[in-house]
Amino acid sequence: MDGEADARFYAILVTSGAEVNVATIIAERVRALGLDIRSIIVPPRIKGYVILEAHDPGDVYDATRGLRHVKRRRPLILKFEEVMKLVKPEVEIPALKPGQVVEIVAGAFKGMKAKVIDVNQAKGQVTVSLLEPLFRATATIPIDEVRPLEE
Amino acid sequence: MARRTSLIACKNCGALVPRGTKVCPECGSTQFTENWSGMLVVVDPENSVIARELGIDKPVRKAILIGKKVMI
Repeated sequence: MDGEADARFYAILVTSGAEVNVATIIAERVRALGLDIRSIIVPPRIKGYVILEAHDPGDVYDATRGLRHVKRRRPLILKFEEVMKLVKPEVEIPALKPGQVVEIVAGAFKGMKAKVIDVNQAKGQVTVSLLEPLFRATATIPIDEVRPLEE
Repeated sequence: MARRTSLIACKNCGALVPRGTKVCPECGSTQFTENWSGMLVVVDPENSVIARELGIDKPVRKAILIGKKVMI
């Protein structure tokens, strides 16, 4: 096999909402039939597409033959850079500053208000001091579990 | 995009496992979530460009996002 130089990315159109199911079935079929499909990607936030990494489009046709929810088998060819952007999406992190008051929207402290002490962007964590009358404590929680409150 | 599927994601490593799994077969974690989106299945890690780029050296099935956190 020639390896990476010849791998291409083929996007097939599937029913919106059925992407994960289609990808799971394709993965089983690839293993069962020994097709040369190297990876299968369901991009987050984009509905209706499943991306197959393969050398030969024939394998893509074989992998999708007769599958329910596959709407168009003629694949769209994507560049590697485009696929990487889909796989490693830029995540918008709410701008939090120490001293800001936030509401905790998930986890054990859900519903409580807290004051931000420190933000660790690299780890995606935020250290907060809980603003509860009976229960003053600090906690380090994932950044997506807090929501800034209007001051 | 948290819709009901038969898979749940390990909160620690992002591995997708069937609903009802108690211990993650990849990392041993016991915490799972339904709030995942995007899926990456590496079938042939030796020849996959994506796997090489991400440093994946064995066949995996992972979630791409858990909440807003990128898992891969």
